[in-house]
Amino acid sequence: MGTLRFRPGVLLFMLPAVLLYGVFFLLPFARTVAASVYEWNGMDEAVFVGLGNYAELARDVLFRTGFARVGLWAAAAVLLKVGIALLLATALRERIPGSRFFEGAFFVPVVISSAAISLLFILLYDPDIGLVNAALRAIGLGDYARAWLADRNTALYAVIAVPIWHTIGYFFVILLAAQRDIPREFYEAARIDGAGARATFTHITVPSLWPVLTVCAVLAVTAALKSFDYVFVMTRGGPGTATEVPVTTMYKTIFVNLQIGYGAAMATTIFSVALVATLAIRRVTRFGRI
Amino acid sequence: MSRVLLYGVLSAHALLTLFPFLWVLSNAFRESDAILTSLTLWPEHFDGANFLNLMRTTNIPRAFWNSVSITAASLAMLMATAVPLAFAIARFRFRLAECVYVFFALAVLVPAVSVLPMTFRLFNDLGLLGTKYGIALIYATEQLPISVFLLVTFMRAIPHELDEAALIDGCDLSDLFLRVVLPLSRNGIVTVLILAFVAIWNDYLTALVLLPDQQNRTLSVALAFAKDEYRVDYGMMSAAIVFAVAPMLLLYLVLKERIATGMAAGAVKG
Repeated sequence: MGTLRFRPGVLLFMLPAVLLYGVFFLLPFARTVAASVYEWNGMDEAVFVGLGNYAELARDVLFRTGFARVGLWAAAAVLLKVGIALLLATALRERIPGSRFFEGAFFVPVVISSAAISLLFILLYDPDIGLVNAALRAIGLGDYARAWLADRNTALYAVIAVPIWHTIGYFFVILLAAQRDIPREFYEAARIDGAGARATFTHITVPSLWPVLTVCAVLAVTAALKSFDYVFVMTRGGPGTATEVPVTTMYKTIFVNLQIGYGAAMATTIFSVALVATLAIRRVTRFGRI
Repeated sequence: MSRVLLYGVLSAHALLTLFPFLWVLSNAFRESDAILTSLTLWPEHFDGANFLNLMRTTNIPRAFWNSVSITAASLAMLMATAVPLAFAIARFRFRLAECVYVFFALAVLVPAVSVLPMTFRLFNDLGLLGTKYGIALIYATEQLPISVFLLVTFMRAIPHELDEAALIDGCDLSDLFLRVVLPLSRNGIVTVLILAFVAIWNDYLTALVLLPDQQNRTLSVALAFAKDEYRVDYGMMSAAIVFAVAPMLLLYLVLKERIATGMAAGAVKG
């Protein structure tokens, strides 16, 4: 905190932000939690149902499978986004000829909206003109060519791959900055001790980066839990319910089915799961630190 | 040998990252029939028809300007609220400021998605739903916690002797804010502006929910609807994607270091 002593005038500097935050974040947040114990269609009188919505949610197969899908999504995100980004950042730790180009290129997709990226992938996955099928045919795997987003068996994986492609660059930049902060002496000492590339990676790079890797894991998991754009633009949750995730189910429950109370219970559950996941990752990774 | 492997991996990933953009750029200048028959990174002849169609017959140019004005309004709202608050927290020591700070930090844990339905109802109650700029209040609110956090970090780095000296010299609070702290945190403010710009410009869900009128659609929302409208017209789809990607790509080329390091810092500190 600062050093100056309090004077009443300071409150005027705080007022606009506190007002904005109170009215447009805290109020809707409180109303979400409150609405979750009512049955309400947005027009008629709301009926108090206690924890009834939550009990119903626990039995709701669509919502539960949605969480299973998003769990897979989060696991893939941590392994692939953070994993690939870590390898790329390790490869570029020492500046080599062309490293500025690679650094710039890897980050490009990150500045583009997920809506535009989703549209791009609709074309890439297209059964007739898509690059994915063209690439498969080019390497003799043409039998695997298909309508990736319309095929029940592949739609979920096809969707999950998009945010991975989209944001590897983000984690790459974070991990590159962190790697370059590791003191050079660590690496020199390892070299003198005769450590190879692999030993250096597991004994110096990974332990030094552990706190940052934890942050990356939290970011990847929470991003998976909140991802709406990719699913909604590419598949709307289909074909059938093959790519339905909790956030899209909540959106449809509230805005299409007008079950406000039930949707609010979904929202509260999503928020709680995000919170628990964040705390759990921080807790679990604490052991890896030493 | 390991050099070869190193460059092989890096080049493969660079190709995987850039190739789709080049492909869609090429298709934007081709007709759908040509796109269906062959795959190329170099159009047979550069045909601007897709872009002309996009400009003349779709609402995408309008959506682009909606995005420009809505983002500008949101950033103005964000700066007007976040900067003074960060000033109070960074330069003064009192209980309330600490509480407010912790309170704001909590919002980082709540996904904006889960609050949005009730924001919609609030907008309905306040009569803001049909308006074009009401959404600026939400964009500013969504960006407040991370912006305040980063601004406080930047403002704390300014030597404390400065404000004590300024107050002794007879400056009042607004002088201290406008003449001392604000100019010295210019760098931090620019970084926060860029990060908030990228986040707000790229938003889809909030605009989808809070801007139901077709004429108020932002670029992301209009693009997503374009999918349903020109699904079979591959050339048009490609042109729409290029239209959305190009401005951000230009901005990135100009501000490369700043965007990348800013986003990395924002993530780790947040």
